[in-house]
Amino acid sequence: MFFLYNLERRVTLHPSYFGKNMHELVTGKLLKDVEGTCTGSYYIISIMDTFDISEGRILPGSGLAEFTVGYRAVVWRPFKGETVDAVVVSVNQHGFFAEAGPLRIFVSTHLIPQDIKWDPNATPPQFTNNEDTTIEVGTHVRIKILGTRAEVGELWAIGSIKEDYLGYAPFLP
Amino acid sequence: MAKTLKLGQRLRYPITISKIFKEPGDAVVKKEPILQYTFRFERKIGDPTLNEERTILENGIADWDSPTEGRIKQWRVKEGDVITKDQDFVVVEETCSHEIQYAGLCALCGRDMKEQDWATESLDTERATVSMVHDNVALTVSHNQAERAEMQLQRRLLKERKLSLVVDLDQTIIHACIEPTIGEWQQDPANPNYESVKDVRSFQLDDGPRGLASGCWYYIKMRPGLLEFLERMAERFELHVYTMGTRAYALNIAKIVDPTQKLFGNRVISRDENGSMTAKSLQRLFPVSTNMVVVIDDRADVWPHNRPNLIKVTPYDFFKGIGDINSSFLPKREDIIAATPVPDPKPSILNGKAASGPPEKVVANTDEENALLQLQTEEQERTLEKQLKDRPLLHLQEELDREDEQAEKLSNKDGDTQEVETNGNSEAPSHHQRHNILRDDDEELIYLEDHLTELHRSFYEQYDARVATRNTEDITSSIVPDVGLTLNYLKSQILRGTRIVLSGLVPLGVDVRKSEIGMHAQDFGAEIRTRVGPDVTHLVISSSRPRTQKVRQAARIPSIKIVNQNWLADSLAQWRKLDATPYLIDIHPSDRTSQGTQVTSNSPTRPRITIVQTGHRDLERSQNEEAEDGDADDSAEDDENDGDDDDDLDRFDVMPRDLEDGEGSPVDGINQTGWDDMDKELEEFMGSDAESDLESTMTDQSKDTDTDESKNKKRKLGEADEDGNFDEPPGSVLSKKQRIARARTTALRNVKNIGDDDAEDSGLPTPMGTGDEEDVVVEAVSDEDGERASNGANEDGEYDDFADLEAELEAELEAEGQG
Repeated sequence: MFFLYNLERRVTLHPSYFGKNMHELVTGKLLKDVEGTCTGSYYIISIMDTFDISEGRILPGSGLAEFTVGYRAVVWRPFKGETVDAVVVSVNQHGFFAEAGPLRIFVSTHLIPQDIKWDPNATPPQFTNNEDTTIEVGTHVRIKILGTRAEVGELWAIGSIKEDYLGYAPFLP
Repeated sequence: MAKTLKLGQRLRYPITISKIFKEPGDAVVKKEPILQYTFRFERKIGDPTLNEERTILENGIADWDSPTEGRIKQWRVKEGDVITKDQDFVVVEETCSHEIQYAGLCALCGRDMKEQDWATESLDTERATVSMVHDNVALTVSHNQAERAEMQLQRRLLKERKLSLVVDLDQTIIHACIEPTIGEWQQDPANPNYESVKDVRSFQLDDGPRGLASGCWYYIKMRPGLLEFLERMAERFELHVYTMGTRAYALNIAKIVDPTQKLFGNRVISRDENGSMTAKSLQRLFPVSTNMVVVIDDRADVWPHNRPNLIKVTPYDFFKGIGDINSSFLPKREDIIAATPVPDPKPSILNGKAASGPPEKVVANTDEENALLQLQTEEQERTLEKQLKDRPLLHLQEELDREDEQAEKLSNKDGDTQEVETNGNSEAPSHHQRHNILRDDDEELIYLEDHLTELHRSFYEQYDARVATRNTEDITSSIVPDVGLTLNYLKSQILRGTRIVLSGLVPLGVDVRKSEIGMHAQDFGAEIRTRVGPDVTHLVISSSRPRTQKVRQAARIPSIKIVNQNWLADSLAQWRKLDATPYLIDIHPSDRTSQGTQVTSNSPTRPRITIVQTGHRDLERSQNEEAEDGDADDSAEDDENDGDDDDDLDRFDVMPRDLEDGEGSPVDGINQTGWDDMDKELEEFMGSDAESDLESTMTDQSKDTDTDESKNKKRKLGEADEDGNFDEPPGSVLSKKQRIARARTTALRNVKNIGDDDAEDSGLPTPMGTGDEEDVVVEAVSDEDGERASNGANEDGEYDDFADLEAELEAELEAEGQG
C-alpha cells in the first residue's frame, strides 16, 4: 500500500560545497541517497518535497556539515493480503517469479490454480491451462501477497493466484 | 503432512506424563502447550555461608509446547506413563510442510521460516535445503519435493525419448575472447584472418565494476557446425547450459547460440548460481538421480563427482593462446595434449599465466568465502585486462608475418618464390602473402554427435528391454537405466586391450594413473603401465621430447608402437582405436640401435646409469610413497610387480625412470638429509661386495658419469667414507659393515646388482656383445647378466625367445634366492 510519509534524515555536506545554494545541494543529495531504497519494511518510492532543513552543524574532526532534513515521501509497504499487479520475470517447474516494482514475489505451483499446468516443452517454458491463460516471462499477473520477509535493504514476498480475479491479467496497461 | 514429534533431549528424564491437553483431531498452533509432565530434580537449599546447604529432591511440573502448527493425529503416550528417555510421542498432521521456500519464506503458506522461539526444535529452513532451479539459489525445496520433481522430469523425458544434456560453454561449444584485435580484423577484409573471423559474433557486456575490462566487447566464435549439431541434439536431448561464466555472460552466449530459445529455453546456470567457484556438480540441477544426464565439457577436473556422466571433449582453441576466459578461478588445466602437429609453446605459456596457481578450495566460512570470491574476481579482472592490453593474438600474427617475410626474402634470394610458400592455409596468392594465425578447422562436433547419438540409442535399447521384461506401464526409478554406466561401458570398449606407457606427458612425481590424461585413458579401457615391458602395446610420448629413457627401452621391443600424444588424443576424441601408423615417431637412430653395438662402441648417448642416480630415484620414490628409505625399494617394487612379470626388463630399477622429465635436475630436489641417507646406503653396499671384481669398475664409473652437481655434493658429504672403503683393504670396520649388509635382505642387494649391470654395460668389454654367444652367456652368468643378454636378444630381433628366457631367468633367480 502507498503512503505519504513524513521522514527525517541527516545529510552531510562536504565543505567544498559550502555556499549559497547549499540547501539545493542538500536536497539533491537526499534524493540521491534515499529515493528507490528499501528501509527494511517499505520502499521509498519518491520524495515529494523537503519541508525543514535545519541549520548546518560542522562535525568535529571531519569538517563536514550535517543537516537534519525533514521530507515528505511516497512509500510503498507491501502487506500480507495485499493484491498487486506484477510482471513475470522467471518461470520454473516449482512456480514463477514476478516483479511488482522493486519487490520480487514467488508464486509456487501450490498457489496456482490446478488447471494451470507447467509446460516445459513450450517455447518459452510456461504455465498454461491450454485455454485463455498462459503465464510465461513477460506476462502481467495479478497476485495476492501471502507473506513477506524483510532484511535490511531487502524484501521478499510469497504470492498466490489461486483465488478469484487473480492471475493472468491481459488488460493491464 | 504428518509429522512425528519427539520429546527432545533437554528434558530431565525420567518424566511422568501428567496431563494431555489435546485430543486427537484438535487443532494446535505453534507454542501452544499440548502436554504436561512432572519430573523430579535435585535442588540445593540453605545458606552456604552458614554451612547449612543441603540437597533436596523436588517435584517439577512443566508444559510441552508444540513447535508446529496442525492437528493432533495420534498420541503415542498416555497419561501416567513414565518415560525414561527421548522418544516419539505424538503425530501431528501439519497445516503446511514448508516444502518449498523462497528466501526464508514458505512458498506455500507465506510464513517466515527464520523465526525462532523457545518452542522451536529445529529450524524450519532445514526442511527445504535442495536448490535445484537454474536461475535462483534463494528458492529451495525439500528432498521429497525434489524427488517428485525429478521423477516427473524423467517420466516426461522417457515419454519423449530424450535425455538431459548439460553443455559447457567456454572451449566446448564456443571460444570467447575480449582481444580488441578481433574487431579490427573483422573490419579489414585484407587481413589474412578475415575469412576465419568474419562470422565471429560479439556483444558488449557490463557486468559490474571490472575496471578496464568493464563494458568491453566479447568476441564469440562458435565451434564449426555448432548450430546444426545443437539442433539435431535437441531432438534427442533436453539441453542445459552450465558455465563458469557470469549469468549475464551466459545469457548473452545463449542468445547468440540459440536466439529463439528453442534449444536451451531458460535452462541456463552460471557461476552466480552454482555455489562453488571451482567445481560443477550435476547434483545442483539433478539432486536425486543423474541416471539420465550426460555432460559435455572440455575439462574433466571441474566435475569431481560426476565423472561417469561426462563426455570430455577436446578443448576448442580457436583464438590461439587465449584459453578459457572464465577459468581464472579454476586450477590450471593439466590435460593439455597438444592437438596441433607442431606444438607451439606460446599458447601453453599464456594459458599458464591466465590460470591461477593451486586449486583453491571453497571454504565453508562465509567471510572467507567472500574474501576468496573477491580475490578470484580480481584475478579474473587482471587476466582480462592483460588480454586487452597485451593483445596476444596481434603479437602472434605479427610474429607469423615476420616469419613469412623472412621466408619470402629467403625464397626471393633463391629465386623460387612459389614453392616455398605453398602452404595450404594461406589463400589469395597475392603480392604479399601472409599466413593466418586463426584456423577454422575443428571437427570435434562431428565425433561428438556420433558419440551422443550412440549413447542415446544404447540407453533406450536398455530401457526398452527393461520395460519389456517388467511389463508395466508405470515408470519407477528402478526401471531407468543409468546413462553413466552405459557411457562407461561404451567408453571402456574403445581402447580395451591396449596397454599404454606414457612418457614425457605427465610431470615427474605425479602418479600417472591419477593424472588427468591417465584417468581419461583408463576411462576408455586402456591399461596404464608405468614401465615399458614386453606386453605393452603403445608408448605414448610427447613429440617435443622424443628421446626419453622409455623410448630407448621400447625401441628394443618391436611389438611396442611408439606414437606421439596425438594418437591418444585423437583416439579419445574419435572414440576409435586409431591405427598407430600415422602417429609413429621416428626414433633417433642411436636410440634404435641395438644394445650390443652400444656396448662395444661405448657410444656417448648411452644413458648414464650410475649408482648415485639410482639412489636419487629410490629416494624420490620413497619420498613419494612416504615409505622409509630402506624399504622403499621393496615396497615400490612389490606394488608395481604384483601379478605380472612384465617389468623384468627393469626388475632392479636399472633404468632411471623418465630422467629427462626432471630436466636433468633430479639432483636439485634432494636435500641434505637425503644425501646422508644415500651415502650411508652406498657405504653399506660397498662394504657388502668389497671382494667383487666389479667394484673397482663400478667406482670408476660412478666417478666418471656422475653429473657435476651430484658429484660435487657427494664429494662434500661422503668423500672420506667412500674413498676409505674403496681404496683401503677391508678392515675391521669394513667387515662389520659387510656383515650388516649381508644380514639385510632389502633393496641394497638389488642395488649391487644394478652396479653389476652398469659396470658391465659401460665400462668392461663384455662377452655379450654379439647375439651368437647369447646362449652361452645365459647359462654362464648370473641372472642379471642374463637379463642384459636378453636385451641384446631383443635388439637382434629374436624377441620370440624372450618369454622362454624370462622363465628361465625367473627360475634361476629363485634358485639363487633360496641358496
